[in-house]
Amino acid sequence: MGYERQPDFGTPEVCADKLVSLTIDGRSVTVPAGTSVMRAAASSGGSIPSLCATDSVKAFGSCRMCLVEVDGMRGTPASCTTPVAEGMVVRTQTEKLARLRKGVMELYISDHPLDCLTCSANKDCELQDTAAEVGLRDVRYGYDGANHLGGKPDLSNPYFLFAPDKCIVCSRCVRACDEVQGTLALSVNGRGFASKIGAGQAADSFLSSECVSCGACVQACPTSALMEKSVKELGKPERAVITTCAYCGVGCTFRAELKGEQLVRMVPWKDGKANRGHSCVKGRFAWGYARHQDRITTPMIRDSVDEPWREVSWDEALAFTAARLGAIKAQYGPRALGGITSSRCTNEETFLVQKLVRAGFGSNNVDTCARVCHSPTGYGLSKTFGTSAGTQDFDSVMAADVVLVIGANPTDGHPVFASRLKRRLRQGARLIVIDPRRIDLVRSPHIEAAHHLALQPGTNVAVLTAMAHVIVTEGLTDEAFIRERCDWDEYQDWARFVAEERHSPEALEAVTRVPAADLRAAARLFATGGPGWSSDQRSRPNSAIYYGLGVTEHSQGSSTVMAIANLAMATGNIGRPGVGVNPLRGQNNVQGSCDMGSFPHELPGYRHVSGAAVREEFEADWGVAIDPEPGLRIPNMLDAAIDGSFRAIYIQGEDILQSDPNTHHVAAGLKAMDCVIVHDLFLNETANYAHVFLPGSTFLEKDGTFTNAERRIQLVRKVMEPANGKADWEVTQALANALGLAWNYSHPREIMDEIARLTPTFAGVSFDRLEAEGSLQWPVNAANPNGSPIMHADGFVRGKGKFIVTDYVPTDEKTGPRYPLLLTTGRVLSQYNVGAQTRRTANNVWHQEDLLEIHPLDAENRGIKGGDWVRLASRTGETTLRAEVTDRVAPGVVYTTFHHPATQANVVTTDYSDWATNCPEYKVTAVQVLPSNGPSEWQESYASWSEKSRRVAREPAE
Amino acid sequence: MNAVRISDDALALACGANAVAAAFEAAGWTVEWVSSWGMHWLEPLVEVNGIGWGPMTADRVGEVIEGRADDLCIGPIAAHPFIARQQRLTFARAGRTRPLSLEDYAATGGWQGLERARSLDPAQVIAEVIASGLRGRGGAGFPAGIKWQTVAIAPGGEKYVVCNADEGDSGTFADRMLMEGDPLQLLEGMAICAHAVGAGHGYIYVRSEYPHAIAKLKSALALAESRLAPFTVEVRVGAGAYVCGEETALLNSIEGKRGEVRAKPPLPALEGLFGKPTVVNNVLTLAAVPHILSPGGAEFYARLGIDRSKGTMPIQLAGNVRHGGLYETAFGITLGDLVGRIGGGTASGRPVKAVQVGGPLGAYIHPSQFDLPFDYEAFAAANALIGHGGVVVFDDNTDMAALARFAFEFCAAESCGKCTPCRIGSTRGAELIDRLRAGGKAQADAVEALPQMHNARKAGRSREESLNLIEDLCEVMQLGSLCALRVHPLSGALCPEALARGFRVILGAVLAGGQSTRFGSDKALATLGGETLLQRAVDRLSAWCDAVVVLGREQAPAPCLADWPRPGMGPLGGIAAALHHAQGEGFAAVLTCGVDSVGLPEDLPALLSPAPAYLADQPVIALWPVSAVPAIEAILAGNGKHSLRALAERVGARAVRLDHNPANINTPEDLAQAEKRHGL
Repeated sequence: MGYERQPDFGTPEVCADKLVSLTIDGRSVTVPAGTSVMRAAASSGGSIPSLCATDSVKAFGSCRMCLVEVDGMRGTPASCTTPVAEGMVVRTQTEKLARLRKGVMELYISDHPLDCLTCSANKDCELQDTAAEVGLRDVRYGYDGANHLGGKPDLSNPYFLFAPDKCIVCSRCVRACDEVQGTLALSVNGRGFASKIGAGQAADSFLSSECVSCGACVQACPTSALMEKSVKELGKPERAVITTCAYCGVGCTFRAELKGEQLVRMVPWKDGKANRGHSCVKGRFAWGYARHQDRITTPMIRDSVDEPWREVSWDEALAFTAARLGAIKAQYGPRALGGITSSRCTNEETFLVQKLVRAGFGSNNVDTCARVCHSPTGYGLSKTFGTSAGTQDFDSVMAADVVLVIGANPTDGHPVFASRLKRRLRQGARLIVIDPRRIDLVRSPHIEAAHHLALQPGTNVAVLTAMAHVIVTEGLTDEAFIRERCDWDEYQDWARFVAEERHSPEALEAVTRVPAADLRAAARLFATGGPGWSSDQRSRPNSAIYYGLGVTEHSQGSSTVMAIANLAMATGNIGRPGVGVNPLRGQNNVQGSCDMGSFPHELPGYRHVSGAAVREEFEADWGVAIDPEPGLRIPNMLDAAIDGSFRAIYIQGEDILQSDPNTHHVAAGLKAMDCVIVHDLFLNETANYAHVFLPGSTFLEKDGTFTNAERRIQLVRKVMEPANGKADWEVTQALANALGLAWNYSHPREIMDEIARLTPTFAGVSFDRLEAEGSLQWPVNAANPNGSPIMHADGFVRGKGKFIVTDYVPTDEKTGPRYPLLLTTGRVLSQYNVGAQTRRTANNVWHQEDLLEIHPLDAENRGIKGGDWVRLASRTGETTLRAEVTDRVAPGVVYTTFHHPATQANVVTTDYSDWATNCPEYKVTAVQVLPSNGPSEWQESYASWSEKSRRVAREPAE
Repeated sequence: MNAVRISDDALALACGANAVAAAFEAAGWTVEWVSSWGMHWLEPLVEVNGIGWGPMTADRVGEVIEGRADDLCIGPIAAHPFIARQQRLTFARAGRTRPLSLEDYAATGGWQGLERARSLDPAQVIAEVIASGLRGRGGAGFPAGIKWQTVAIAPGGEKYVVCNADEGDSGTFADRMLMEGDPLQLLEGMAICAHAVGAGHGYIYVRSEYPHAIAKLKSALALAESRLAPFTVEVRVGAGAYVCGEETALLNSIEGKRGEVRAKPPLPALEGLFGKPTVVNNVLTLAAVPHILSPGGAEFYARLGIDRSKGTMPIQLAGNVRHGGLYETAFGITLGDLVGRIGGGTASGRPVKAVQVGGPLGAYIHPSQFDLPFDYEAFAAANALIGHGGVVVFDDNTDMAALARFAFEFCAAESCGKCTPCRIGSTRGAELIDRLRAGGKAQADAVEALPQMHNARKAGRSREESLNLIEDLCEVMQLGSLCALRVHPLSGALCPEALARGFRVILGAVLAGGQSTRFGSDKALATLGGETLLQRAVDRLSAWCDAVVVLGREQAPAPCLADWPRPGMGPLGGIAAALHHAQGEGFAAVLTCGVDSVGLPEDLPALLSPAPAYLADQPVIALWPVSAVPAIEAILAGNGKHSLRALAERVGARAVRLDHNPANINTPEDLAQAEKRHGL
């Protein structure tokens, strides 16, 4: 594709059953009722000049360029704010309109710089285009009148600048910040001629304001007033490639805009069904890591981890690796080998890694990072509903009446989804937040949660059971739904259980610390929509549940997921838009990596490896025998390594040292192995214990597919050639071939064909279809040929919905005199996961270090002030970081993030994990916090180890 | 005990009502605070047993007590022609009741409308309001009943009634008087509206500049709470933005947003306050409703007025008018009647130059159109608007161009800043009027002069071109602006039609009455470069002025005027004649030069702006505003020196010094030298 802007229809699309026909400049046009004249003109091949209209925000009517004449209407209405009407006759080009438009443009240009040719928006400027359309040649006012020229640009944001003198005060940025992003950081200050765009308060800059740098304003700006600094530096892009973001599980699609191999900017793609043209600071701007100087592009090996690395050729590296793996396999058997697939890589790459483990190594020792995040989701939802995935698409939230957010912080973790949620909340949907911490959603501009249940960490099951208690005992269940869709006997068992007095909010208040009255009110709101709720279409509200790792990363993670499913079934909130159970997935392809058979007990498509028929299918296709015994999970691999029975691991795109709990234990396990192969972009923390480093490729450098949290399979397209020479799937294939497997995939589409062949839910998926249709939501098969935006619409996949009794069992991790506080962990907007990518971008300006949030009471008891160094110690380990005193957390609870290896929050977390899936209990650790003078002993020794381990020998070793 | 009734209306208080009341109390009288009758020139007006005295001062209270002060006595107030001629419905209680007295209110028919309305089906209430013909009194004149009906049938549970009390137009005060004088009637009207449309809550948006009204409303709300229930009302105080009187900006302001105009559609009736169906009506509209809903009220109301303008309109007479105040009457009265018969002409006693109706951005109406009836359609046909019914009178000393500039300046400061024509156009308009007063733009500006600016004009802009540009700007602003504020040209005072009607800016005057004693012959007819000096002077002034006259000659290439009051008064006589002429014809100022002034600078009008100003070395070259007429008359009638400098001193004219003065041709030698200097 050459470079051209995505078409802009001026006003948002309108969905209506009724169609209206009208005539525009003689052309007859038929559009949905409620469409603007401007959009009707644009969709019929015309173009009405405009400056304040763009199809991402509502019509505004301020620029007065789009005036038209309509037979029978007085004056010259603005086409953006005038809806079509049957039989309307519109003229968009008349002498009078030309005069008015030119007159307006003359006013604009009398207060605008004239340096088009040296402007960073040259040929990418709607003001310039419109001036050309109206044919303005002379500004009769002259150029010496009052003006806003010479305004000082605001360069504070690292990614974009604000040049006030280029601003035409069209308010598109302000409206995008309001309507698209929902942050409301921008406003028009002043009145009349003095009206000016500003971020935050008068003394604020973009950086110091509430701005979250999502880029919506930059996207909306018709001139160079808000412009990417990269465009200013590099000039206008010459080509664009549509691809899928590799940060969180929302799966935004972007247009990567380039000059040659140089990425100029990433622009959210309006046709992307996950993001609908929106983006966040990570996907939009934080791509600089792709060409960061730390990136390793040459394979490296070493005999032992205390040696420096040796740079070698691919052949040498692969031969070295194959030899080591071969020797280990020969000596210790195939089960001494294993691998970890990456939720950052494509479906095709993930599929190949598990295939390599199963078909090449000969074991089922394959696991993925979902182990440490959403494995309880897979378990819980497959038990209750029959499918290991969320039930809705993101669009569904726009039909929700009540939204329950539990254990998720969407504005930071899933910002683009959060913007849509906030839009729905501003339209009037009610919100319940269950979180120990006062996340931003609880109260932000024009949004306030009806209930924030600030529970004690670790008591999710108790809170949800108490909600169920209220709903059941107060007769608020949807009995018709339950009788029709679920197993009635199981329901009755469950209902009897939750109705027991010991599960009442009052009884559980001592445990959950949630006031019973609040909890009751929240439960009633969830089930009934609250007092005054009414709808012409339905007798009950659409209530949807969104959750994140605050649900899963507990010793009772799977129980909580099932409790959520119970709640949704009991209130009939499954199987239509606006409802459902929606896990917010952490990594871009965590859904896909689970789908692709990344678990030790499951072949692709969640089919148990013990099933002979399933195994046979794969054995026939791959021509190998598959071990019928499930393999080891990550923590088991580490345990086995310390025991000496597990000796080699291939880790693709994963930094388990930093991301997995109990860092000491992880380090010990890795250190015990004979061959650790790290396949990554950077020498990550895990690579400090590796023998082989295989350079990885970024998402910009390969073809493939990602599957987002709504089961949407989207194409990842190669934007530039891999800096290391090979896409990750090619590296895995080369390693497989070095091990003697004769793989000959020439393109990831062939891998997808194999996936489709072997995975029933992917049966209808192919690159050709994805190219043609943009995306597909699995299952795509004979029963659902066009995919499945909403699951369980006509009945549960497993047949009858299954209510499962979820008893509240307190975690073994207890506070006590030595560790009186509970630590819970999370994320911030600007950093992503372990920070490997975002720390290598200017995003650090927002979050340079992990901070410990502590309540003022707890801080004062310990003599801690904001900014002080504190020691954070648990029974497992200790680290040091700076304190932030805030009442976001309740007394007794502290909170931090794990984005920075210097902090290593996971040194503190424990080995406790979910009873069903081993998902670690990151969210509950008993800790003590005390003033400190500086880094802990562990931090110092690790820093020196890390430095030593990262040495690369500059001279070839002899 | 003796009792006196005095108005506690803000205007009466401003005129000293408190001191008057104190004087009565000091004399042992009881003061009963009532609303104002609305005869502003008589405030503070005091009433004893129906007889009125005004304007009252504290020092004359004793005379009233003694039954004297006949010069202040107006007899029975209700019989005063200003009151007797009115047809007061909305203001029926004005002057007669205590604003916060529930007894007075009930005794004068209060609550009857609401009681009757609540006994009716909402649809019937709306039908009666439609039948009454009541139209929005805020400016647009939209039928109130139709608006209510739209809100009533709009889907959506929650609905609102919003009263627009952000009365910001110049010369308007009816809303304030009603809120201060009869707040219960407004609340009753709102409650009727709420019943009709199904609203539970209402807002009154009052400007902060009305502290007395705000206090009265709040007290009235407390008093009437149980009467209004279940309907509730909240008073919201504006923050000083004129534009928040525009209904959609007002809604934004109540919502806590920037007071910015919203595009329509969607109409507030469908998506108004907080996105809910909302009635937005002006104070006077809602206050008219209780009467309409009283038995037979709608029919009575519909019988008044003309054509589609039904009922009564509380008209506000203000500005330079002798009898200013509130005049409620049926639609159809002419402007001439209002200004002349009722208003008694200007307060200054000078002829009326124009009246502005409908606020600072409304149209100026010339006396030639004074037969215009007060009627929405008739005004619209004349490209004017009734607006909120404020009539501001100007006398013939008014500088219309200054008013036009003010309109632009006002808009540049008070525009919400949303739409481009208003946001930028207003500033350009003010600049253009300055340019026009300067006779155009002498040369290209620095940017236009740059060689890179290929299409830019290098030769300056003539006065004619500047006028055309104003004309174009007015069109863009009128047709292109977003909100109702655009309906009337911001430049009402200077729009091309207004110019044609005589609201001109500068009259050029060539003073050619000299005796040419030193020259030897009639120097006006001496030639320079092949043209007579007279022709040259007329041509020169024509470039800058809307018209040129010649003084002190019988024949000339332009209209000749005789000196005032008679010939032989020197140049001052000529200037006086020119100024009189300018005043009569609607010019703002007179630019004078001598017939022998040669080589006038290109930017002479700019140099002499603002008037009055003159060239220090040649005071005959000057710019005199028409407001200098009384001064020049006084000088010519007096015994002092009839000199230009005396005039300059009297009117405070600025002396402008130039590096190179124009030539002054007194002798044939001067002429020859000029010929040489100009290379002719």
